[in-house]
Amino acid sequence: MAKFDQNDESVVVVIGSGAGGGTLANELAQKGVKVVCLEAGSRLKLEDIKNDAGEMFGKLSWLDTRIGTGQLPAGLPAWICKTVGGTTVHWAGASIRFQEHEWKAATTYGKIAGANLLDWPTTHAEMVDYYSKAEKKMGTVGTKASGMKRLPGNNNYLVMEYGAKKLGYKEVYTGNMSINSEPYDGRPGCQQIGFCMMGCAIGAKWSTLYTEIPKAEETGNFELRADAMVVQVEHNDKGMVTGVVYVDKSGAKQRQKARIVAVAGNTIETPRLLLNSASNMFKDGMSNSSGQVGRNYMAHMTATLYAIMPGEVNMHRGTQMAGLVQDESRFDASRGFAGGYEIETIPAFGMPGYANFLRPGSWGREYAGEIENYRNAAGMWLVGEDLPQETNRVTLHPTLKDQYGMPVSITHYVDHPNDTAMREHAKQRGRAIYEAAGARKVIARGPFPSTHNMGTARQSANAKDGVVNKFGQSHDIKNLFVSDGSQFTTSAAENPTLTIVALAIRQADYIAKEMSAKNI
Amino acid sequence: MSDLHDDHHDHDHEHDHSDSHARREFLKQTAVASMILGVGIAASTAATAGPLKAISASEGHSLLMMARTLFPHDFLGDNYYMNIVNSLDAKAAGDAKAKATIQDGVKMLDSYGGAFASKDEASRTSILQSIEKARGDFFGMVYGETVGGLYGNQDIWKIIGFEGSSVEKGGYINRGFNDVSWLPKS
Repeated sequence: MAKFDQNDESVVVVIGSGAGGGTLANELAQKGVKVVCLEAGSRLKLEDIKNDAGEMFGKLSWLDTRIGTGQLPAGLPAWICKTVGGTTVHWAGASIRFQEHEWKAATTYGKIAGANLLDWPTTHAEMVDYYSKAEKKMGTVGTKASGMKRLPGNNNYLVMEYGAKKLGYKEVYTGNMSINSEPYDGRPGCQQIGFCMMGCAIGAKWSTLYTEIPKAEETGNFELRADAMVVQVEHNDKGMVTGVVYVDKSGAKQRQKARIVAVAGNTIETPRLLLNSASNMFKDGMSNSSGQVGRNYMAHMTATLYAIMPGEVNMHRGTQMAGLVQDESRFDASRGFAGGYEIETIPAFGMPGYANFLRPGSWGREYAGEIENYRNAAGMWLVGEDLPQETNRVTLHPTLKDQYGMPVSITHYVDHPNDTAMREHAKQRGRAIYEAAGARKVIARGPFPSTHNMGTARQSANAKDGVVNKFGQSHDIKNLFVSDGSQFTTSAAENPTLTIVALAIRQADYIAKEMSAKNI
Repeated sequence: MSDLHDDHHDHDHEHDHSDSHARREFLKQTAVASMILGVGIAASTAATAGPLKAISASEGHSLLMMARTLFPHDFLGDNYYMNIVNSLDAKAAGDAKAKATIQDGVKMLDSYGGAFASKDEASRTSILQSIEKARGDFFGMVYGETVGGLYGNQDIWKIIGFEGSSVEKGGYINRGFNDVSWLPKS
């Protein structure tokens, strides 16, 4: 691994090592660009990953003080990670491409009151090749790019599949997962361990922790600094960024100079950092001439169903999210809402998770009976497009600071009526699937803290409507980039990681080209 | 992972409770914090059985019956519920405020016309519903200990059917990940 001088002004600083940052950093390093990657979390080894939901929640999650308001839980507005590899250590692996119309949500859905809808400046046609590159990189099964067949279905999938097909659903399969169905890229095939979201203990699931990061290190062009929390991006009097200030493991402040800065701290930390980088020149925060930094926070419409089936399911066995019904992901205004949703398998998060989250706060003989029926329980997750709203946003607390001396973020989210209508439809269809398979009881619950977080520094064709252009480059500052899900203009129905990775690969091409041309 | 969006998202439970508002309030205050602290998620460190240190045997019996009423599993012996009492006792021994909360709470249990522990399950349930609605610290404390103590106990996992860590056994690829047998042949 390379080591770069903190005064080296020629490096690209990438903030964050997850799907966006880790991918961008490796892609640049492979092209010979020098990269310093600053990651707030620590670096785990594969042997640190245990099949224990509670232990891994503590090891992986971003638990620094955050505030949620509106419908978000006050102390944990989102379920995302602070660790090398970011949320790719935790993610379930579902890798579905956006549908063509989802890049043009404003045009497709038309005007919707209360929604700050906008078409992406990026088009479907531009992304096709980049999706293939992402699928090849990640080892996405069921794609031509990887050549791997899909995973076999586990019990939880077989129950959902039976009910869905009985209802007439056609697009029912184990999904395009970035989880090896056979050895691929030096990593083993999936063993159906069943703890994907606690980190894959054998590395069969793609995570930057053991793919992009070590590959970047092998180039000699890349330095990872873990336990490095960036608190400010700095700029010169021409309004160009010059480097970052970060707090190291000892609590000391450090400065890293940079030619280019790419921010990929996930959708809460990215706007937090930009807002905290306000200066005399950028009074409302960096790259915020539009006032859109932190706004349009999206978390996907979600809900979870658990069903008590007539026989054993043992939903903890096998790949957690390798189960997909896609028929409802289409746009069909006759359903009474814009956008669509995916139906995916999900288990409980261990026995304590089942008891805590099946019906939170419940007790008594009936609830105890539902818990006793754990063996027979099946689970599904409903996830769909939510609409951007300007008032759903990340802001800085006026006085409260974290251990780094940085203002704590406040994340506010309330459903748009479209989200509510979609959720009701999805719960009804999900219930019908389980009833078609013989469910004795179906229990619906609301969203978990969101793992899909998007939109707070969005792409826009016009500078007044968003924060970055179609390459994730700041409209205001040409050597500043946003490289994570914050740049999503709209959320689409699909799990966002594949699109984050595809955008990061494209962004690396653009940055390298612009560097060569001496434009940045 | 707790219940986040209140109101409209939950109302299609098969049998919603009339005290759902109180339940949500309880959650807002404690569930997320509990999750962050790992209470009720991490496998519990089972308290060692032995004489109670800070609370009386009679208070311990009331707490045991409260835990059993909250999560009545007829196939579980009292020893599983006693672990929860021991955890509460340890809490009381180390923290005067917790001790007062527990002892005042037990008095409250017994204030509905006779000893709580000697009432039938329907009466105990109705008393606990009243206490839950009052939103004191006592209910949430015993609730959290009970959920963590029962469902964090790996012996109970075995009984209920959660199989725990699987990586050291090679996962389920050869151990029944797709062995569902009751589905009709489609």
